[in-house]
Amino acid sequence: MISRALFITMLFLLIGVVALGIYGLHLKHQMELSAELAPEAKPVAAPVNGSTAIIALFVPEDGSGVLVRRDVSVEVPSGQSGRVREILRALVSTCQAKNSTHPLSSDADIREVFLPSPNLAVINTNAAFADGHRSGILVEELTLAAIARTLAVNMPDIKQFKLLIDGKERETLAGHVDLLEIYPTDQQTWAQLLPR
Amino acid sequence: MKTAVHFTRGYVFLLIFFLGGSLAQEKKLTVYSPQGSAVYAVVDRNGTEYLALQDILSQFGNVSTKQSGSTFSIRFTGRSGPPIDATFAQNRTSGSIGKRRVELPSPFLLSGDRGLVPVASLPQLLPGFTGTTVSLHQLARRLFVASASTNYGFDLQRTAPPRLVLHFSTPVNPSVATEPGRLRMTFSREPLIATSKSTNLGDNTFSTLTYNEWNGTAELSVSANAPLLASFGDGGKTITITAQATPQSLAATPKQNQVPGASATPNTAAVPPLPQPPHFTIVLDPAHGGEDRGAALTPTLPEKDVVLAFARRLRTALQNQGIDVILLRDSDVALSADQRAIAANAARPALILSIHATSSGSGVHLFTAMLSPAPRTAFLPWDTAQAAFLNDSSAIAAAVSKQLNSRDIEDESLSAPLQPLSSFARPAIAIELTPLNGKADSLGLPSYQQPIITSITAAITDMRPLLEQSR
Repeated sequence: MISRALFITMLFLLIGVVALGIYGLHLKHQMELSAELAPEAKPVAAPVNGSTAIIALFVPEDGSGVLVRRDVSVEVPSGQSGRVREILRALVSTCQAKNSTHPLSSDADIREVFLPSPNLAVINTNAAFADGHRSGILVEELTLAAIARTLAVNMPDIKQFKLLIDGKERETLAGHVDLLEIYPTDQQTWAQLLPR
Repeated sequence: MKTAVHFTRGYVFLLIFFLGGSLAQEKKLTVYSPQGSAVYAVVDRNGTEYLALQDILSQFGNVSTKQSGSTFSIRFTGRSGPPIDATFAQNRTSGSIGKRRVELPSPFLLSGDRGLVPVASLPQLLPGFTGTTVSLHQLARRLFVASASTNYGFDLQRTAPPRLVLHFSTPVNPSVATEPGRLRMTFSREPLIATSKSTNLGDNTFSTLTYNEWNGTAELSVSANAPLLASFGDGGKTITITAQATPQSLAATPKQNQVPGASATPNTAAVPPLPQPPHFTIVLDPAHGGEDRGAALTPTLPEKDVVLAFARRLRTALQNQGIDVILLRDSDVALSADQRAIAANAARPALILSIHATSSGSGVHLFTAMLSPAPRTAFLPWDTAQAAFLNDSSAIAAAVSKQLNSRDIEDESLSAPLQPLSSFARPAIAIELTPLNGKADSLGLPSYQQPIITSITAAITDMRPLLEQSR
């Protein structure tokens, strides 16, 4: 037989636990609601001094294994290498958006683009671009194909590209596709990944 | 066109050079301790080899240095015990560690903020800081701290084909290179030591096992009169070296073939032996392994485990069809792309299957190398050797696809820029498993894997005549 005082204490404690649980659920719900309503943290492209242009991005769909064209408006500088960099940043940003069909790390970025010859782009990404990339043959190949097709359509003079990670060569993007190669941008090479 | 490609590559290499820095080969010293091994750059000064004292001490504890004029002070704090102070002076052969005076075989040197000591002085200096015994193999530049060592033994199995099994006291992961009549294993991180330099194996196939060490590495070399293939097992503690049958070696030991109806007279010796068909062998290449976990399919399910389990089940299924199977790894060890290509090509199999798994997409992805078909010649470029076998590889991919479809398994046939697939000099495809109904857990289930294994086995059985002809 428990005493009346102990019974009342236990009752208050129980009520307290239930009340705190309900309050916790309420806070969780509020956080989820505010996250849904929050605007995208990252802009579609970094602010640059230049003109606005409509560019075609080829965004991978991991589920179907194809690239899907999406036209966006981007501020592009007049210089060639800066223009390539901003176009590719727009591609990366699109993949970083919520509900992306080909998620990239939120820290992934295109650091700089070098054009050692008019038809070659050497693209230097930061380490997060590769470190945070999903691992798999097709999912990695889609990233290369997206870069290739986006360059081919928007910068037709560029016929080849080479990807560097944090200024250095890497053997693979995320354990699979070969990054030691220089890749062509032509449609024929990547045709298998275009919608049929 | 070729000139343009050369210029393009030149530009890229220059860019990488400026971005990534020089990759020049240097003299190096490897320090092995029970906690691990580390490699340090060695520099020549006045004909003597030196290295930075603070670099090597940082492997064993915290180090702080102070420079005042020509005097260099260093404070070392080990994992236990009080800090130890040491003092050296530029161009002087005497110094002190704690209260003990030490004499160096060559003068102490300063190079920027680093204090350089002769490599030969390390057995004298390091125990003063760490309190442990040190053994230096000076010509090979290998330093063994405390009881760090890996020993090995061997077991020669005179089976068909003969095998040389090397047993190591700790797991090892050497880089493996083959050349005609020789297989070399280079141990960069393992404190491998041997009691004898060269062992005569006294076998018809395997002749010698040789140990050598230089520039911070050790090497085991096996000589034989047949191509050799190395495979890892027992978590990296065993390396099995198998002699592969060659047309020459088969001709040297022909079986006594008898033509039906012919009498066994002395004339049979004049009948040329019938050519011995080579074994129909499939090489399975489970991707990743060791520290390379591959894709994280779920928080607890790495790709390397799924593909190894799949490869073992596929091996059993193929062996039940009378097909010889070689697994490039049968345990959790890391192999580089080049190691895989060397081992697979040396086995001269009918087909090579690389096995992968991923957490995205659906069905089974079948990949051939992203290359243009090329004619078969005596010498094939290493990076694009697969181009000469691409037509056969595509035929195999189509056969597997047909078998998968007959079992209502979705598939997609693609090409991909993938190593070691592009360096395989035999028909080869890569298979990537994807989750069933988006559930990555399903990738490890035998019930999910078995229909795919049955499809692959049926496709290989169907394509066996083509593969035999292709050899």
